[in-house]
Amino acid sequence: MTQDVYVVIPAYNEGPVIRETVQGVLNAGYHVVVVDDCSQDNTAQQLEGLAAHVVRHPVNLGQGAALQTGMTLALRLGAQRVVHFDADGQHDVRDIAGLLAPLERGEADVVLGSRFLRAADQGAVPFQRRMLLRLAVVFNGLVTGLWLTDAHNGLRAFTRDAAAHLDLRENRSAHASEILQQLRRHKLRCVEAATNIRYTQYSLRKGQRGWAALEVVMDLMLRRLFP
Amino acid sequence: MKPIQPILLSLLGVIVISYLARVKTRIWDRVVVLAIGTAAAILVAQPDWANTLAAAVGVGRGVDVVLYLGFLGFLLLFLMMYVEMRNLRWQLTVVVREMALHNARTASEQLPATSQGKQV
Repeated sequence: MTQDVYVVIPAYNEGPVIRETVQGVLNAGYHVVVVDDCSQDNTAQQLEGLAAHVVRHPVNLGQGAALQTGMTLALRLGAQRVVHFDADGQHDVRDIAGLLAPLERGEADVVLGSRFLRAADQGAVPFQRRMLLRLAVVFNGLVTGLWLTDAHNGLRAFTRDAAAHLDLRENRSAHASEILQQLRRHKLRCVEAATNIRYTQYSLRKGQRGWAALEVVMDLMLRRLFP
Repeated sequence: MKPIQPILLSLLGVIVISYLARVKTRIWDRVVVLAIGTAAAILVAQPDWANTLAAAVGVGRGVDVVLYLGFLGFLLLFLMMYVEMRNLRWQLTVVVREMALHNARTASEQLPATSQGKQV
């Protein structure tokens, strides 16, 4: 089963953690596609010698663009399942199996990770971020019609067909909401699965700032007005 | 005629003629620029007409009407430029993506030569 699962990891300046992240996914038996979004640190060097497919953008485009590039390559390589996985070490590779299970049972086309399905996990998310994510859930629900428990979890799993339907145009932070819009537009079956999150000083420093949420709203509103 | 009027008309003429002569755009764009330039020239030459227009639409002064229309025009221009910029960004994304995919290194190419059974 893991032979046809491709884990797409977009990376931008993740030199300190990328090797450990990628090795962890490789050790679990999955194929890995790393998209280096024109990192300016030693991310590229850290990937040398790893049995991962590596794509490098010659200019920085953003996480959404990197995910689309990775999915495109994964599909070209014959992926039957595509997983999105963050490079900063926040995601637990053991959660991938939980995301793939509904796909294997034919219950869903897309499985979205959620930090808020289990009461025990909620405390792991810093308070300020939790509040911001709650607002994002409401926003996404109003804009996309999909009412989820976690609006911006980077851990997702797709069937090949579902991944092939995606055509991300939002290069940066708004891609998460765009994914939901496209899932709804293509009438893909979505479920959520509980995932663990591991915040470190490093990942908190690299995470989205609050003001980035305003950019997401602006981008989505403008795309609505001018498709 | 007040001294400012020939100055404004001259500058307007230079702008419109330069645009039409140097910028290769669609015929509709040229028609729009010519129409706006002509309207602007008329209002510069006959400022009382702006006051008449203002009175007809319930605005106090002719200059206010010109400002309102100018603001709407700039807003439209801004939005058109935003859409164009977004289209250009998308085209850039497509090109960068294809370049990146063309140069992608597969897992076997990533591994050191010794692990592929080759002698270094």
